[in-house]
Amino acid sequence: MKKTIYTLIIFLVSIQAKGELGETQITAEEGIEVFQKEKYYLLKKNVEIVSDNFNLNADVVKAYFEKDLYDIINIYAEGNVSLDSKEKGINATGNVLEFSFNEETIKITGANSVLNLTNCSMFSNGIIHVNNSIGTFYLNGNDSTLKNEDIFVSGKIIDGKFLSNNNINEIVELNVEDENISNIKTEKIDMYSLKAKYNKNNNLIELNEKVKVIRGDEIITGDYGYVDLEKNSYKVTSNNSKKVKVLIKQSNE
Amino acid sequence: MNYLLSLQRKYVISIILVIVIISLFVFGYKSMNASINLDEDISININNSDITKPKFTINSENQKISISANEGNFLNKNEILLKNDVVFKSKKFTIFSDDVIFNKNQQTASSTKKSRFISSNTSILANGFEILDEGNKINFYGKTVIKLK
Repeated sequence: MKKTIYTLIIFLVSIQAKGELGETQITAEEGIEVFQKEKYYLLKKNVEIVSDNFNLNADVVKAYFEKDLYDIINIYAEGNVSLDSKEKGINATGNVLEFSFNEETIKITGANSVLNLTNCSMFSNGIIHVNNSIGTFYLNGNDSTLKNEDIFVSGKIIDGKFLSNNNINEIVELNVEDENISNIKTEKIDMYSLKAKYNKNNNLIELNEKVKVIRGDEIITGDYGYVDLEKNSYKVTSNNSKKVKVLIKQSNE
Repeated sequence: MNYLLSLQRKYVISIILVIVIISLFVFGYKSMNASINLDEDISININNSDITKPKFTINSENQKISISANEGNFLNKNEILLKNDVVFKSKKFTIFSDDVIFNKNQQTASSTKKSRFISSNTSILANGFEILDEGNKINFYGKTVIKLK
């Protein structure tokens, strides 16, 4: 279980550091507008950026630079955006994609936004925002999900913090919220609630409102609960003590 | 009696008429040649440029862009068509093109011919360009390729 959280995010170093675009070729079907005072250039229609580190396709791209055109610090891409970095194991699609080399952030907005990383993938119909420099991630939109091979998280709002240790990014905080129901599913436990909170310090997932915990044949519902990831145990309580409901299915085997 | 005076009058008139016709023919021929030469002169004038090796400058608060070409023709009071190896050069960039229209009054320039933009670690190839806002805005037209290093 502990491993699950540890390996949840192993990616964000992959956002390029400033000035590391490498050899880059950009094509735009309907030309470019260069704004020297404002320090950006607008690439128009079927834009394709092919660099040593990544490929980006979009209908329109705004590239902000610091000193000169080559010195790109921010990219704003709009319309049928797809970003692909085989080297770094990143694949992203969405309506709008923004990334900042200085701040090490990537933001994808719009319906069906996707951010696939080597060991993790994120989906949202609103926003996916990852800040590598301060170690945060934020998803906001209907049917937002965060998953890897060991864990699945869904909800309207998913946010959290991660820390980098020996090139492995580890989640230290995770918050999930959904006015209908949010879900955290690990290999052994399936958890539902309106709000869920994980903190690495105590290694607990706290569940609030409309709580349902499923472990094997056990189904427990209540108003509040917590799951101890270290011991693989859980506890569910209710505001009204009579409300806690336990259902143990009988196995046929 | 002089023999010449003995010539019949009608022969004398015929000879004079022949001489006049020949003279007219020769004169007409020479006049035609002269008009052909005139046409040639005019066509030469059209091909010639009004200015050779013209040089201009676009001055703005942020930069100074020097413009040079091999030939230039005045299109009107403000516009000049710059031709053959037109170069726009500033501290930040250089643009190479042909057939650029430069507007002295508005300090703008535009071309619909293939243009090459070179600046630090950057090259742009486009099917034309336009310099606006005293050089602060540059538009590149058509399918454009940028190479960054």
